[in-house]
Amino acid sequence: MLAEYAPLLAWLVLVMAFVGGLLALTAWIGRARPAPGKAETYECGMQPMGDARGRFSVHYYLVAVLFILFDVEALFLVLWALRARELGMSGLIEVGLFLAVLAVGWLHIWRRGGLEWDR
Amino acid sequence: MPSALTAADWMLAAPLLWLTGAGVLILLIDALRPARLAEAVVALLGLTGAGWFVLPLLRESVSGFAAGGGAVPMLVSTPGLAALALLCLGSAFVAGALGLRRLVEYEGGRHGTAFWTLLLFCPAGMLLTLWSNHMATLFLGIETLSLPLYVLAALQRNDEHSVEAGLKYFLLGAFASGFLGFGMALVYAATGRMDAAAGQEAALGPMAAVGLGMLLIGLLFKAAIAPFHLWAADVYQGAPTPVTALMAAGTKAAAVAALFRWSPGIELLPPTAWAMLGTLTLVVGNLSALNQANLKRMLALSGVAHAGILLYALAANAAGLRTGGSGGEYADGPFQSLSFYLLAYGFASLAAFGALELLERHSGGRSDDDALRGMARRHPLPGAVLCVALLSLAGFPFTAGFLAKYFVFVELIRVGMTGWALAGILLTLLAFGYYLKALVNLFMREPGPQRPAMVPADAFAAAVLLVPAILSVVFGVWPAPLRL
Repeated sequence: MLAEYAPLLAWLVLVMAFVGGLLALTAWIGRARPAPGKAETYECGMQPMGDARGRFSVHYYLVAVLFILFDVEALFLVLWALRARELGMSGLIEVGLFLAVLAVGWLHIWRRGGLEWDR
Repeated sequence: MPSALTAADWMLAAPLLWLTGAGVLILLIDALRPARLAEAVVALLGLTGAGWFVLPLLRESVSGFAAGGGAVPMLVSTPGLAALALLCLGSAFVAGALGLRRLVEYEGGRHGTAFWTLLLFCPAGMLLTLWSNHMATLFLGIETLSLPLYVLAALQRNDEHSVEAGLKYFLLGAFASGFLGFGMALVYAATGRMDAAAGQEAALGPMAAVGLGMLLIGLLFKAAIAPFHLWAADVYQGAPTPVTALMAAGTKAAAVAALFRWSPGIELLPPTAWAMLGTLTLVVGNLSALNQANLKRMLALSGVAHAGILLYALAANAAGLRTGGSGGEYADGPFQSLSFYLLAYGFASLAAFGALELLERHSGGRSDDDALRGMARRHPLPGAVLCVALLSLAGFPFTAGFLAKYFVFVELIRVGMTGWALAGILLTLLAFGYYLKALVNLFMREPGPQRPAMVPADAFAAAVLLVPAILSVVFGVWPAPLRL
């Protein structure tokens, strides 16, 4: 049974050897020329400004949660769509109920202003 | 292929569908035509309607949702579990009645919809947990009951204690859910089974053993059993008191009953291990409760101690299974004592936290001994309810709490664990120390200066509270109807 996993093990060893090898090669061939500019935070070639711990609107969090919610909804729909014909009418009704419940949630979020950015 | 639902499936699904349907309806009302009264009516009707659907389950055992048409049902209800389901619905009803003033009108009523919706989803999860006979339904049930509670605990978002309670409960609860889920995955990987009896396979490898252990940790956390009880005091204290009542009565019943139903699968643990765990929980809960100067915190820690006594019922069950050897078909005694205890504890804690909520309205929301000094004399009705509740929790004769302890210890002695029963009884006496201390503080001290009322007490909440208090006395002298 474990033999089935042999390719996985080979892949794992290869990946590690590749990454480790590259790191070793750069350490061996590359020349270290330290300069103050190199030690700075890289920000698209610009002078870094401000603090990494800046505060941002908590609204991002709400948007992210809502995004994940509807993302997962899409995932369930894909699973149903792959077998839509076999599941037939009862499958269609079930997925319709699922969508209806989510639609109520979406309507609720919308009417409560969860989708408005400036509030 | 999806197969048609049987009559048994519908019997079990009806209360769940009714609850979640009412929850979705409330969201729809708020989206289309916000009306606060309509939302409250739909929520309370949702809870009572679900209770009506549970009633027929009190008469017979029902198994439904046999996985993939196979032999193993995903949901199993017995009369005892149906009684606990009614307790869960009732505690949500009490929490709703108590929250009408404090939570629904918080911040100008902005969170009323959230409160009612979550109050309907939470007991749906409790019912699922109670009836779960399959890892999928157990996990779904525990998550469905926990997620609304995390939010409900933090509902008073401008109160730092409430937010702290929500965050602590969420972080630790998510961690426990991780244990639960990973344990289930390991058991499935080792045995290929996901039903409650998976752990009863003859030869359990190390992977299944680790998985069952992790599953056990997840359940012990939800039931607040030492050494996984540390969240209970902070969460119970910080959460708004109506929510605490729901957690104490409903969550405890669902989690401990699930622990009982899944414990035969955890054959790793001999009866003495359950008894040791129970004694540890009893000692830890009692000793920490003795030292509290806050009634809410004291009740939370005493809840931990009660869970310890409940573990004795599990010990008796495990011992019976070993000697009986009939794989899960042991006499109903231990389960009867467990469900009676959970009902008695549920009534008493609903009454206690409910009366405390009414008193808190006059103490500026505070529940420490100083603020509650002499309050029962000034407010006799909540005071009387609190008195009955505390006596029942302590196990005073002629209350349901006394008989509950009696039944558990009788089961323990019946399987020959007399020493453990003796230790438990002595430790139970310790509990009188803090319950009577609280009563002395409430009744026998001069009340402090009256503080302005935070929110007016309402007659509806007080009337609802009388029900669990009266039941605590009635079933203390007439226990037969609850021996399900």
